[in-house]
Amino acid sequence: MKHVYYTSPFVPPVWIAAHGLKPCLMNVSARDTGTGTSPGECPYARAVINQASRRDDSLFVLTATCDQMRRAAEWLSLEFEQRRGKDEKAKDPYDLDSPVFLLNVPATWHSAARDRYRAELARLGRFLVRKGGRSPDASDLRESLRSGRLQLHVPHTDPVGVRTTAVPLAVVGGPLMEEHAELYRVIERNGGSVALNGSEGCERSQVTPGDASEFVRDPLGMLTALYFDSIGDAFRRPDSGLARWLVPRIEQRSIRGVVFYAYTWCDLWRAQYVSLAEAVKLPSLLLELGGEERLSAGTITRIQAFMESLR
Amino acid sequence: MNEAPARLSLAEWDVRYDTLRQRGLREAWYGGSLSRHVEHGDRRLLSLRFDNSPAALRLWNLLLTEEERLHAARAGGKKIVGAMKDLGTVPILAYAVPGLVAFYPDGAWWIPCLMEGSAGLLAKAGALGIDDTFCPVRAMLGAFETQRHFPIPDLLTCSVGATCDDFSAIAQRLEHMGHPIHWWEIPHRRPAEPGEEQTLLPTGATVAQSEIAFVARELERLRRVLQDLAGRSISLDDVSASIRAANVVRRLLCALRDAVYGSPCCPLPALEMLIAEVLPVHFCSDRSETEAVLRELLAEVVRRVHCGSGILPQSAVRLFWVNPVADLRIPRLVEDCGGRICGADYMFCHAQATIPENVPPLEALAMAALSDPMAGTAVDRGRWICREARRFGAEAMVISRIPGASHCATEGEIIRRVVTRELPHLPVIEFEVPSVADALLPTLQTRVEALIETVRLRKVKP
Repeated sequence: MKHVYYTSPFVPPVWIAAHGLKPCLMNVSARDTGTGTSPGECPYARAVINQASRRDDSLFVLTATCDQMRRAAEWLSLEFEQRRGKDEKAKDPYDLDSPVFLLNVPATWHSAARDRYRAELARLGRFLVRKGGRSPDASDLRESLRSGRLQLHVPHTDPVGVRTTAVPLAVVGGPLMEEHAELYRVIERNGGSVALNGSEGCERSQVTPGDASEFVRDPLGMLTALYFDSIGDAFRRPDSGLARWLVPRIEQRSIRGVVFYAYTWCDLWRAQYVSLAEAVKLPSLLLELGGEERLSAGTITRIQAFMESLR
Repeated sequence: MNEAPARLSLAEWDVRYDTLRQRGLREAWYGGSLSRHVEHGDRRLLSLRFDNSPAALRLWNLLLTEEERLHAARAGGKKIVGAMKDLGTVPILAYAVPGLVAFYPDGAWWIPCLMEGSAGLLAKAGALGIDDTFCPVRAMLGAFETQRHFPIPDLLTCSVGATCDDFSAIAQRLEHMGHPIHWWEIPHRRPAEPGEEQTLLPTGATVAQSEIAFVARELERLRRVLQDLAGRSISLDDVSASIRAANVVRRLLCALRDAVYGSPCCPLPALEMLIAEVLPVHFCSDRSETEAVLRELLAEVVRRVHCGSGILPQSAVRLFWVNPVADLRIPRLVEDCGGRICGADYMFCHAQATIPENVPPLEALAMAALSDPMAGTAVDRGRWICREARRFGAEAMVISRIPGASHCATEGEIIRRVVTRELPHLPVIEFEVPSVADALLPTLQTRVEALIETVRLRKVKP
């Protein structure tokens, strides 16, 4: 069964599985960042390119949810093209031979944008069929939903556990590379407890399973409602969905501080820091993560100081 | 008044201005000596060189009086539309009816350079959480905060989707600061897939027809918003007329580019060409004056080409330039090093392509919007660059990176690969140009000199 790798919570794994292909969440590692980042390049986007380009015979679904990932998809497609020897003249990066699919997730929320997300899922379906998948029938849809493949779940971003004596914190940010999940451990070692996880792939981007018969009747309609209508993210305009998700949970869980993180050159999440910190009205800390394989001493010290100020 | 073309300092222009006045120079209402703008804070003008023609004087005065003209428009009862992240689409809709004036708040990225940082806009943006990891366009945020530059618009629009992350983040911050924004989606431009209808865009790229239909619907939403602001309807006939008027401006710019970049004698400095190229984006807040300025510039250039007189020796090495520069001294630096810019992709090349007049107007505008190089792939952009570099006989290429800009991280390398494939003998260099490049000028100069030397050596060797 062909593997289809993806990174974004806006790619429904259930839709890939319904086409008879295996959805695989890329476990992005700082080891893949390598030394090849260009000035201004997001280390996460670079790690995705480097990891994906080593995987032959797979398909990749990347999203245009940020400029860096949109361009990473183009870069990756060109890498594969070059490998196929198509370098005699500039070809279109997304020609029919490309194993890379760029899903255009609209940034806006209005009804035409919603229709467009739905149309993009349909286009993804056609791509998967062209690449060896099958057009899903009712039983394929039912089976893929039953197998619980609705969720994008990033295991390494699970906090260790909530301790009642610890200071309850929220962690908020985009995708997190495997090694940088160390920040949860550092928080916990310093008397904190991650009681609200707003990292990509965690609570913020989880969707609630829908009704199977509804899925069979209108799969794209249901996926649009589950993913496009409900996931707040830094790239969406307006970005009100993020604060709508975060603020009530902060109150419900008696959160006392918020740790934001953003990869170097990630404009979307970095800019969120000030706006969301204003919205939550709590002590907040911004961590800038690079492509290194361990959290830097500076980052750890910042977490320690932040925790000390909250205790 | 037909003196030999030359580049003058500001002091030299003052003398020339007095002479021209004595000889009966007729100016537009916003005319005057260039040095008066220094008194208003544009100190960078003191270190620039300007073309000596009255046509160039009018161009500079149009550019440097924009804020003043916008305030006057508001005082005269007009509504101001700030068309953000928009290189030539919403302004065409806005200028479809009298009573609306559209401008390009992103243009504030030149303020730190022009005022040599004295306005403190970048520091203001930093204090608002938008620090120097973002593109210099963050100066716009500072301008909104200080309210000492352009008037705060009655309506702000911003395209989002296949745009740069810097601007999307900055505009969102602006909205959080209390400036409501009408967001509209510009999708990533993709070619048609099997079974889909494909359309050829004015810039030569192709796009699935469904993308055009989607953007046309977005523009319909914008048309309604602008109608509400104007307090009158904007008919499709109004839009068609506005497209025709925009095309007059675009054709003038095309003719100017062909005449300047195609001529062996370099009839106009690169700095004036950079400014001329930005005019069709939003008409510098005055469409009819933009047309008049371009007509005058074109007439001057045609005269100079006819006489074979230019501002640089014919031996100047022909460089193609990629990306706009925030420090306006860079074009002069290139010319002082023995080069000339003979073609450029300043990221608004699509604003010079004629908008189709034989399709429904919103569809035509959608095609223009989707032609934006930012919306497509870097490969598409590279192909356009190659066509233009070939057309104007470029001998080398400079890709100038914009500090912090999300698209510059990988785009330059892809463009370089396309150029290397299609124009294998064209040397390419890439470097970053900050808003105020004082500290980097010696390095940049050395790099440009080395490039020019390389080209000259190639010419000598068989």
